[in-house]
Amino acid sequence: MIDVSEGGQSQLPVTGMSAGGMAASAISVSAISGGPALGGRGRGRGGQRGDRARSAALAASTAMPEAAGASADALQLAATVRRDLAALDFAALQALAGGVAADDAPGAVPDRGSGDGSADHAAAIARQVADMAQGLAALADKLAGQPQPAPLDVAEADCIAFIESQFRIRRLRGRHLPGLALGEPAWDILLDLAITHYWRRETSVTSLCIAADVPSTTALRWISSMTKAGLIVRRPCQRDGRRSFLAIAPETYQAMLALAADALRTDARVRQRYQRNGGN
Amino acid sequence: MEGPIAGTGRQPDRPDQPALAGHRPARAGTAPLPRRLALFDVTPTVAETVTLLAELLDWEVVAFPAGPASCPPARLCLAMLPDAGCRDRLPVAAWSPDAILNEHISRAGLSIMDQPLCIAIMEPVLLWLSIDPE
Repeated sequence: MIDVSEGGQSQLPVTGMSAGGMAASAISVSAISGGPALGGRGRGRGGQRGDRARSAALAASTAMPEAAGASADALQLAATVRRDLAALDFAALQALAGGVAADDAPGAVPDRGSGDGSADHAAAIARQVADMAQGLAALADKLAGQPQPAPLDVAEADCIAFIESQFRIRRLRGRHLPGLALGEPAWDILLDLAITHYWRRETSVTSLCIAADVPSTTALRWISSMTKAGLIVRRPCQRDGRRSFLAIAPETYQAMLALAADALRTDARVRQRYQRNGGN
Repeated sequence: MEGPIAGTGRQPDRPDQPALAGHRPARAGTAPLPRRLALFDVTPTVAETVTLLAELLDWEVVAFPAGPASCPPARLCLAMLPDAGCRDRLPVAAWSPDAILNEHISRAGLSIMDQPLCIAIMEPVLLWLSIDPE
């Protein structure tokens, strides 16, 4: 897999990386003779850089696909990085790099004139590994910098807690503002479905109608139109696959989580502003 | 269950799980009736609610006016019963051409429904009757 040319530029082709321009520029590295040598004793700058890059790239390639809404390019890049990293024998290469670095260390007797050229060959490989790690680090940074619709910094449980509190607050309106028909049954239905989805509960039409807090026929009309719009989907019953229940569509659920995370952040900012004003 | 309408009017023990819970035996040698709900002279108000609910549960709904009608094969039929009260609050009778389904409908307390028409009872019955016998 690693193609090392003696002298001049040699390319490190990484499987599948030609698919994306970004990947190609980040990963296609060149090893130039006389380039920066690895310092230290085996765990030098290049080695640490390699470790950091590998960790970052692995983390990115593992975590990113799970993030809902990740773009197709990011998914492809992450999959490619994961595949390439799996194909590399990092331990052997680092051991080799360590040996070369030890040779380069002060006090070491370099075996430049041995004639077999194995040390030079190993040094070239070590440099290429370091360069490739740097490329992977750059790729991981690019992947991490892409916009993520999923609320990465707010836990799902916090989002659902916020959603449930919103649902309960809406019920409180009827208690404190009796006689006011404020409506918005579709929002009540979405809140209820998001909560039941989180708790893995099956939602019947009847319970959705109750959650909508409007007459049954009105609620049924909303449920019907939301089903046609793809916000609500039918799911087979877990106990009896021949039956089905209503559930929130996965995309809608992710959108609700993102909304809740945004709302929590907004709430924190507003509270901070009021606390500052209160302190003045 | 002798007649097509033979209800007891009693409610199921647990509304979320109809009293007809249990294995419904397959009708040997006969194809299951299509998942179709036939409405006979049901008022628009009641029909809309029932139709919306049934269609959400993947049933086909066919409506017939008053008078004799040749009903296509249907798993469940609903009809208004004559009464002196408000037409939208007339008792609704439920039955099936299939005697086995009739038995389950009756055991669910749905044969003659209390008014107003309650989707909390209709839904589990539709769900149960939608299961094709194996």
